[in-house]
Amino acid sequence: MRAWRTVFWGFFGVRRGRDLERDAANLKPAQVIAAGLVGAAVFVAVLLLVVRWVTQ
Amino acid sequence: MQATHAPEHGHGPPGGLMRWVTTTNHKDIGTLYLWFAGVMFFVAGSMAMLIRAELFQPGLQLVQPEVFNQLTTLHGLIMIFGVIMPAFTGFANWQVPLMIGAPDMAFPRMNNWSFWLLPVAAAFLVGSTLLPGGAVAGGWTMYPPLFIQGGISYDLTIFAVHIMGASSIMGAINIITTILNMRAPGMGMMKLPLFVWTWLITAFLLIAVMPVLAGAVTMLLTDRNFGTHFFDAAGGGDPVLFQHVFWFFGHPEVYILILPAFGIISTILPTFARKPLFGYASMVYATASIAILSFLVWAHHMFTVGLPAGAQLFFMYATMLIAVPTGVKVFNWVATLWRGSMTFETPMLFAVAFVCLFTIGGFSGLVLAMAPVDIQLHDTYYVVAHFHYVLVSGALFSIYAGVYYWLPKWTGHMYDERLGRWHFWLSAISFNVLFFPQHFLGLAGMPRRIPDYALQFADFNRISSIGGFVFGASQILLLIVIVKCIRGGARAEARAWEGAQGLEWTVPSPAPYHTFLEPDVAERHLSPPLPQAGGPPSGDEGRGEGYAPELR
Repeated sequence: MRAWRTVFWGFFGVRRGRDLERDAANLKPAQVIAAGLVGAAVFVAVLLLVVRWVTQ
Repeated sequence: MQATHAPEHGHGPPGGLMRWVTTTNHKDIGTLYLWFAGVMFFVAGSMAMLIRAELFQPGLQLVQPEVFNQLTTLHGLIMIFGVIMPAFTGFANWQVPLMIGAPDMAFPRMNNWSFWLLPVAAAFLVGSTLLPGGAVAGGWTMYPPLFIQGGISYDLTIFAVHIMGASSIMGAINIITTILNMRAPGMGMMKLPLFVWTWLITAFLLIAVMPVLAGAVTMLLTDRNFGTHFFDAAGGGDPVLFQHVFWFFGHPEVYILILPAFGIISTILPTFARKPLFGYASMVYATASIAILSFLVWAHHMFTVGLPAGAQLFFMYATMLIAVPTGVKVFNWVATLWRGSMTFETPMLFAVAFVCLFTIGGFSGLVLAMAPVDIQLHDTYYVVAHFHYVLVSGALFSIYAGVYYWLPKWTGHMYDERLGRWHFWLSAISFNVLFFPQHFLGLAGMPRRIPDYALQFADFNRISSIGGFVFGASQILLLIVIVKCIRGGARAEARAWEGAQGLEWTVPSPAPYHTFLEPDVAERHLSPPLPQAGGPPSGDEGRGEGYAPELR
């Protein structure tokens, strides 16, 4: 769950310093990378849905 | 407290030319990279001067169209692969081990090899001008069918691109391994200076996309020489396929060229604002985010090839969204300056100019991101203006800022501040005279890559060329400043800048040949925890009036 939240804020590009330190302490890099890749796929899917909605 | 072995301990460099050929020292190799980039900068810059001289007035004056096309192609290829990328790798070689408290790069011999591949590639590119038919003239993007039809120099260029790609991949492996495995005890990932973070992410991008470029040019090579038809419509291939593969490399490449610049600027602004960087965490996350998004926007370079409307919309939205993390960075830089005790030495001048002018380049990028607008502006001077704002006032100005910032650490002398300021003001003003009118030329419809143009474009082209000549001439000042600084000047303190933070400022200036041989020495410098708050005073404390320590 924590990894998802981290990646969400990562996409936006903003993160509280305190949360960052907690992330660094609690998360493994593999978790963040996996969440990042899934996040990218979700991002693509959302954009495709928007495109579909706009072109219909 | 001596953090280093002095060269007298028997670890000094061998003398003469062989020192540079055989060196495995990260500082020597960093110096080689930077000088190589400097030499190539003047080579590709001279080509730009010829281009601007030809465009000074309508009609053909100096060069024939074939030669003009060779000049624009080589200018682009050399500036990207021979100047900006090697310069950033030079910074990485010098600064990454110093910033993380490592004694050297992880693979010193591979480091030597990845540098010495570059002059070979450069010789192929520049030497191909002497071959029958001249150098490559199909544009730096190497699009077929032009790139399949050319002469021997096209094969040499493909070989050169392969070699430079191999060099970049080896450099990236070296940098990643160094950062992940060789940090001093106590230097956690979230304490890394931002320059190191941006280079770590850049290195991953390089490993991801350089093989893609290698694949694309290999397919060109087999199309040219071995009877394949990947990109040849007559044989069932598709030239648009090349554009997709090329830009799948090309767009992350844009971020390879700018992320280290972000790192340099994020190092310099806090030093001269005498405040920690605002939003360190945001900066790291935004950089990672930009890196991921950079793989999802490639086809915005191809809005005019006939993509389906759905694909155009997808790439348009994705491109606009990538502006969000980039905007976060710009806000963080401005917030870093907010209420800082700022002084404007040359590195700071270039860094502030970077923030302003790179933002202009970013905005014109947003304009181009809109597919309907891009269809009008594609392949016009608007695009030329856009990417020069990003790559000259972005990447190149950050390199200037970094050179002025770290010259005292590299040479042990302070550079000539007066000449540095002249260099800055002449560059900043002439840069805008050179490239700002090109927005108007593009909006009025002047295509790029043409040696002659219609009369209505004459005035802005003349202004642009005058700016170009002044910009070109001003760069000689940089060379003078550097040579003067190497030969002598006021002695630089270990911490050359009052507000400078980080491990590299704990070693003497010039940095000894070997540094941080004992990891625990670095560890002692690493508290308190935040990267911009690390590093103890080193003898030049109390030098500046108006310095507010509570802001550190």
